[in-house]
Amino acid sequence: MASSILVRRPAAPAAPAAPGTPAVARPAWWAVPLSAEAVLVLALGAVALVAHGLNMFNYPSLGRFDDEGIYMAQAWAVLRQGQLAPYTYFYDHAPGGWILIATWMGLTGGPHTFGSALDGGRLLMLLLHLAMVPLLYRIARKLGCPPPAAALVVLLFSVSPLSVFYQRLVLLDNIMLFWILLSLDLVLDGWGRLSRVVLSGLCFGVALLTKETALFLSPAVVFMAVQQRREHQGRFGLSAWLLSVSLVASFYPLYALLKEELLPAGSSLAFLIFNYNLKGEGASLIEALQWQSTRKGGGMLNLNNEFWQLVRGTWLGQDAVLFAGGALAVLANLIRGVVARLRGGRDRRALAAGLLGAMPLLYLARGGIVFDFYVLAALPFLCLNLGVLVSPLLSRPRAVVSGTIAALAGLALVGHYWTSGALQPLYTAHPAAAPRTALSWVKEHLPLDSRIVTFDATWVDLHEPGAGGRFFPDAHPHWKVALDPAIRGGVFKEDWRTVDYVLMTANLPQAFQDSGNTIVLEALRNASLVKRWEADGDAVELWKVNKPGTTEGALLAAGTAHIAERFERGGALVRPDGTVASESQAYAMLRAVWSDDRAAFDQVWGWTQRSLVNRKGLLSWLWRDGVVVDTHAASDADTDAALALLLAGRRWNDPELLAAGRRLVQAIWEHEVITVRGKPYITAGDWVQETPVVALNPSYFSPYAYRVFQDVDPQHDWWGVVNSGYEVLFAASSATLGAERSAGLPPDWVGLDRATGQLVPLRLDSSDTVRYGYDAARTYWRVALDLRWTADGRASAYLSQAGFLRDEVRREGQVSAVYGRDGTVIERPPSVVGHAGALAALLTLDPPAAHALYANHFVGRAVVSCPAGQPAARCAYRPAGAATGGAGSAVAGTAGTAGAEGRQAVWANPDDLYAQDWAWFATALYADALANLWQAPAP
Amino acid sequence: MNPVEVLLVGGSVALAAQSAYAASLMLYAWEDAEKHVQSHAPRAFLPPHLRFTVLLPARHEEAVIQETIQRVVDLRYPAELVQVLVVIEAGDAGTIAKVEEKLAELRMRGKTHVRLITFDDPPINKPHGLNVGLRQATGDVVTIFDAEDEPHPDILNVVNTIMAGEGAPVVQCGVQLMNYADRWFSALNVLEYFFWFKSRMHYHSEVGMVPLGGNTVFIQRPLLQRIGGWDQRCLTEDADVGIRLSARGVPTRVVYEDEYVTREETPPTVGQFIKQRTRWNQGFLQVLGKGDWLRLPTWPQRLLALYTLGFPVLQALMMLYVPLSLWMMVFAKLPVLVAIVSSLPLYMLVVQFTISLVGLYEFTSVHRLRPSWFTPLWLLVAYFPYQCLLAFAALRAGWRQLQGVNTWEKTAHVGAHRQGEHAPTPTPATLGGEAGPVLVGREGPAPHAHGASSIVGAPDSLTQGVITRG
Repeated sequence: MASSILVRRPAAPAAPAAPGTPAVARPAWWAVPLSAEAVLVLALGAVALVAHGLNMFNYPSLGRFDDEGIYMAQAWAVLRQGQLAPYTYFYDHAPGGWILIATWMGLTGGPHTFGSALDGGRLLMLLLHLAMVPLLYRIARKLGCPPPAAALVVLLFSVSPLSVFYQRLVLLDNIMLFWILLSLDLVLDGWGRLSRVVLSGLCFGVALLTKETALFLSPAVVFMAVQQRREHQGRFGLSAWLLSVSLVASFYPLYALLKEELLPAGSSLAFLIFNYNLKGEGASLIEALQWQSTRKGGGMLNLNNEFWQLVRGTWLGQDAVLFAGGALAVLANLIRGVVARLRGGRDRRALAAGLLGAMPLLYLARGGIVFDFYVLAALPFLCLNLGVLVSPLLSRPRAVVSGTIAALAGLALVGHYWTSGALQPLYTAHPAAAPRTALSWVKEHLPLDSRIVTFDATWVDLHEPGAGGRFFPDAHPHWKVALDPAIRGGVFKEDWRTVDYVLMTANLPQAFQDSGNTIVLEALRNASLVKRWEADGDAVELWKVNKPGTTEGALLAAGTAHIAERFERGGALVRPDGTVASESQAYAMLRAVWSDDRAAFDQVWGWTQRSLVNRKGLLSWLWRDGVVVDTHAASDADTDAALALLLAGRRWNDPELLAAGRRLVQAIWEHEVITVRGKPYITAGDWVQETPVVALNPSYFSPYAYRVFQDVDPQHDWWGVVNSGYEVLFAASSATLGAERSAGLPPDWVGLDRATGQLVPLRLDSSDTVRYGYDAARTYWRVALDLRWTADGRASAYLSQAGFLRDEVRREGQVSAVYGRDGTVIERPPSVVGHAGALAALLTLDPPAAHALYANHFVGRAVVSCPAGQPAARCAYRPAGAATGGAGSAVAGTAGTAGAEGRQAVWANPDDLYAQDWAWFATALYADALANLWQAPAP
Repeated sequence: MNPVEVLLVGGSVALAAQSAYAASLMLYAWEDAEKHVQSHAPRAFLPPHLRFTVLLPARHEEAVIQETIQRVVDLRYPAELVQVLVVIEAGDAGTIAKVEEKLAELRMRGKTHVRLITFDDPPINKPHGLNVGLRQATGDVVTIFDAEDEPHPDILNVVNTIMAGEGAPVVQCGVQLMNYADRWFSALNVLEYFFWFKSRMHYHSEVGMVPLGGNTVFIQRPLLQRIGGWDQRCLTEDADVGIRLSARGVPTRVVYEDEYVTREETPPTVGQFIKQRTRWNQGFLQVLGKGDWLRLPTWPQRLLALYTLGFPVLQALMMLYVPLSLWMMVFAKLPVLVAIVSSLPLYMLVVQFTISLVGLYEFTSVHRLRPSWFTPLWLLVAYFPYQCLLAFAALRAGWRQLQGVNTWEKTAHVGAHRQGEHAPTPTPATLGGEAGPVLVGREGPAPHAHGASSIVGAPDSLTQGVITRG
């Protein structure tokens, strides 16, 4: 086989010394038995693998640096969209780095192969670090370090807390470092092969395409290239290097040129967006470079510029040995190099190492903008300088001595890091658990068309259709919302009301302030906390903007889907004990008519008609295993069913349903309304007719329904029932009913003395009837609906008396399930219906408290999932037919419609039908999805 | 991507890869120290041992033939070991007269090792003349100098040392155009020779597939006779012989010591340049068609032969492609990635230009010339037109080959490279002598000015030396 110029040939005799012979001499490392050093490098690689890899997905946290998420998102755009950024690419950085990440993503089967997208990115960083281990070792050797010193260089680079911390991050700087080290290793080729010079130049070009700051290292690398010129290279040595660099680097301006974005386009100064001064939309490379080079950081000579602040506040704390020691070594090597040069010495290795260390330090200290991770560009070279400085100590004739010294030094180093405490968090802290669990909750629970303002680390995970097929095209990073006209104006229409959710880390509000993100700031002022996740000092919060929207539609549909699957059997809503209550049937009918689900309505009403309607024309309240167990009726179920029938008849224009409703209304008047002292009262049911004290249940009182009944049954005084009901409500709530005082809450039950017309405590079989419990909570919901439909002053007045509940919510963040008459807690764990009542009351009395209660307890505690056995991709989770971004009215028209394949939402105990019903009614009330179909039938 | 874009991307990648390969061949000699050392001529000479037959084929070379003969006679090598055969077609009375005049003068001075041979049977062309000469040759080694050549006085000592010392059966020494400042295309033409002989020939030698040059090539006479001499129907009989030798596994030693190159001149006019280049290209295509390269022992050799001999086709394609891709980049709304890939061949053109530019300084430096400040600009301006010339010649060669036109278009020689003499060369030390190796110094004193004035156009009689093959 013929050789090509790329084929390595056996070592030729060294070129004769002549002017221009490189001072960076070819080290004889291949002369050392290869296996010994190979084993050493492998061992160092193993140390690096453990030091870097252990716990790297958990620390630093995923939201710690926006840059990680930004580059992952841009890599995702390259892979999935064939463009350089998911948003307008404005030449913030050259794209080489994230093209590499995209290649990695593509080769490994997508961004989710290793967990979240950032995990995949961090794995790539680990691989790059492992690749840098032999590179840095070889460079150190070629710059004159004996094996023990070179090993120390690599060890420092791999175990320094400063180095490990930043190298775990998905940063362009890390990728750039890899290319620079590769370029250096190639240019320091022992044979001075021209092909290696060319390859070195190409690699440096790629480094420039990865991050332009590589330019600041170029003087040092050019110095190396100059030193590496050989007689046989003629004039081609340096020019081949420079040509290769410029060739690769020129793809960047070429790209801009082809996109017609090289030069500023008129007055549309895209970079001004970073002055928060949006005018135009174009992007331009030249402007971006101007912007990057003029980002202010305090000035070169200012000892309080960003560099010195970071030195004092961050870097020295993370690793003083490396940072301060390395900087001193740089200085020492520079002095050594210059002195040697002045004395006419040929050895410029110290000078070369010193320059490599000095250039990035000068760049950092230049006085411009500096982020803490910029220190990365200096780290390997600081290590290198320390190694070069201690090389004379380790160049003992006896390898054992040098090796022992180096090993002891390495142990002392690791021991120092351990005792200083800087090492431990790297391996024990798990702050990333917070964003990780937040992310998985969000991905599972939020509707797909939610407009989410989020932080960059979550971007790819929210946008990539994962295994569940769930992704969020309208999730955008907060700084894009602040600065990108296409997002700020285009998607969010300059209006905070278009935001559904804000997902943020604890430190973000400051960033919102800094970037003048008025949309998000205003949205947060009008938002409530849904959930908060905390882990090891990191916290992530999900805030929901206080307005009904896509979430409510999705929750109602998913709630209906769960009820249908779990409880409904041929039109009967069967509870786990096998019973069917007329109340549940009536609720189902109401949900169906409000959800415009004719099929479900017919099914439920059909069963109810066949199985529950009794001789009186009322609904027998309890059924079990094919037979009616108790033929008594409950007036709330009858009223709800009658209202449902009337609304359905009106909505679907069905006279039969209207007629059935009218018959039921007649039966209610006949059997469940009594007249005491001239006033008609709605009783608890047909079973109370005979007793001297009439049982009333305030939570059955449905004034909005009686007004409809008045329309269809004008012969009876339904207005009187409304009036008497409000009187009872006010009186019963303020009455002590045997207790020392009243907290102002309605009692579950109350007795009406036929003789006096007074309210008295009611004696029922078992329970304490005067408390505020699972029955009474519904009172507020019914009154609130009456307020919505009629604006009756009594309704708002009554709701305004719920100060007790407001205080509870304000103080506890929740209300207890059961209170005694005087407000003492009887059963602390909250119930869904209790919160439904509180929500209904607070929506009038204290809207912010209501929003907080709703966000936390109805959105945040809903468990939304795809039913087992469903193909995940078909598991839809959005209101059927609802237009994207629809407001409350759109929700109202379609609330609760859900196909059988839909996602299901569960509140509290999934077997508790009553809880599911009242979660649904509370959500629907919040969403304003309970339209008065009698007055204004939906089209 | 639509089919046009696929084609564009594929073509661009292929052309760019080809250019990158070509660029790597241009730089082959500068790759490492070993190659640097290997291409050098010996620092000290062995005693004269081999007998040389120098063939001097000439046709219509009245202007230069006498001086050429004188230069061959002046070679520093014992005359009794040198046989010089001037081969001329019998009808070329003018040149024959000049040669006889010169021979008479030489005989007067006692030099009798130069003979004139004429022939009158067709075809009247260089390979025929060489074969005629070969029949009369008596030396161990046969070599060729063209009428306009200016071989180094020690060239026979160099080759004697290599052939005797290393046992090399074939030696190709460097040939170098020198008049880089004469015409607008001269510098680029000069650089082509520079990169071909200084660098690429070494690669061919390493692979074992050497299209030999037309002169300053030294071949053992028995070897030459065994393969039947030169192919009289071939327009590039030199390359053809090289490939047939390579096919037999005969290694070729390539020497390019800047000091020992045989100096030549660029064609005087664009027309002459085109004709010369057309002949070469067509000759390569002929050799390709003959198929001897298929008998090369290894695949790398065959591929390299295919690439080298078929290069005129590639060059023509490139010429057709570059305007197309430029037009597409500017006017067609290509996806950015496609546009970037389409620009790769242009990138490689820039690379080759840069290599040429650096090569110019390498060339002028080793030959102790001093380029003027505008030479690089000139190179820049001339570069693309020159590529067009090359491509045109390639297209023309392809066209002629397809048409079956095989006329020999001879290049005119006016001796432009002789207007400025190079500095006197130091006498190398004999074997075992005191003087150490001589490195070409970069800071040597500037020689007297090289004749940069433009030449006078050659008379028609010189340029029309076209003889139709019988």
